[in-house]
Amino acid sequence: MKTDYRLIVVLAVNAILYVFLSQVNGLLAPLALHLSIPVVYLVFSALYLKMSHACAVAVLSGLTIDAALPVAFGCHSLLFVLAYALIISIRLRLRRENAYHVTFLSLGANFFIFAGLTLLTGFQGAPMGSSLLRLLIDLIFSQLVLAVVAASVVAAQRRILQIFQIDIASELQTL
Amino acid sequence: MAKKLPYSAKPILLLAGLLIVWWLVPAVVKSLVRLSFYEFQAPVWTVASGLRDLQDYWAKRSHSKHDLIEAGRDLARLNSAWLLRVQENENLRAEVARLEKMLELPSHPEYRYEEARVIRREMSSWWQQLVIRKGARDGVRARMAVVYSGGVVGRIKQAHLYTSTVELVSSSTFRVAAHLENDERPVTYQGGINLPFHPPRGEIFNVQPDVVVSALAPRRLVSSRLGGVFPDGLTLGWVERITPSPDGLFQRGRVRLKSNLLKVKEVAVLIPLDGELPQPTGEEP
Repeated sequence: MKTDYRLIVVLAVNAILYVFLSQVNGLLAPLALHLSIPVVYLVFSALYLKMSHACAVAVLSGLTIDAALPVAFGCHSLLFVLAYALIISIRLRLRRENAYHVTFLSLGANFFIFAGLTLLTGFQGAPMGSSLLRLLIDLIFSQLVLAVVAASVVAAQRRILQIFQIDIASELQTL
Repeated sequence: MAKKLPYSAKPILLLAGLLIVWWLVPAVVKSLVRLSFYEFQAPVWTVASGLRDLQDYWAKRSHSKHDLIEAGRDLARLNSAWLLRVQENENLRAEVARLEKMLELPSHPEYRYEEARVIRREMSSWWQQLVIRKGARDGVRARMAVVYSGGVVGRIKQAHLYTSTVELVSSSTFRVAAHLENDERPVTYQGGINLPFHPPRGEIFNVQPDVVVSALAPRRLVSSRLGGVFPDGLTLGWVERITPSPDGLFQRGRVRLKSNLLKVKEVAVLIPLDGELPQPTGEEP
């Protein structure tokens, strides 16, 4: 029987994306900008993997992110699984091969995660007006970047799986 | 015949199951899992930082000999100036020690500086922190002060084995006792919200009503020993504007922090020589 590496491959790709995004945020730090697109860890698995694998990706990716941040441990995992439930509810109405559909889905899920994180973190005593302005700028910036890269990231993940002889695009879209 | 679950109900049930399992997991286990996840990824940041250092090294190697000679000459000038300052400092320290002994005053705490490279920056609207390449193995502990050439960087939030997380002075959760230069009356400093393309900033509260500050004559805000974390006199920022507080008793003001705080590459952790760790005070949240 052939071993199925898809979960490991997706987790490895997420790890690389995580390091890459952290480096990008390190470079953006002097400009006081933050790129918040955690949905890239989730959208491929939500569209192409079965439920148990997608949830494992959501939980493990979320815990990895939370470990290094001053948030409650499990906060990102919870938001990822919630976003996954949201994606699942509309997944069959979307064509996962269509770049516009993937982009639209990613933008919606990213906004959901961003809003959820803001609510869970709170404004921490800072002036509300400045906080909202900064949040809005970060959100617009992140959504713009996501609109450009979302479809390419999903396509790249599909190709990486093809390298491992897993033609996930031809499989049926099931839970 | 048993009815099949609707398609969209499955993830909701799974989510509920996960939440129940997570809720039942003891806090100690969660804490251990968090630590494991952190320590597992820490080498990645260290390697990335090492690679950046290597990149810098090769970039500097491409400089001409002429550039290096000029840099060496400038450094030699700076060294002579600093040597003079060191001598002055030694004399002043001796004077302070003599006065402390004469007046039977408690002595100032002394620190050693543990230099560390910054390996990661997180400057979001939710939190502002750095990760440095020194940890518990090097004597770094939570709540220790972190400084750089421009003044205060922040304080250690969490010390891991090889790395530590620093809460930045510009973070809205950072709160510490401070005072204006040449005015010993304490004020409360708190980090603010950093808008893009603007220098980081903070706020001060509980400023006495007779204090006058203007944008044309900003005043330096320095750290205070009262907080128990920082030694006296380290620069926090410059107070540019002061307005009356809503309570009418005190004033509050805006503090401009140094813009290079967000791109600092190397910091120093102040490790108390007497081994006594800073204690939490009411000034912090």
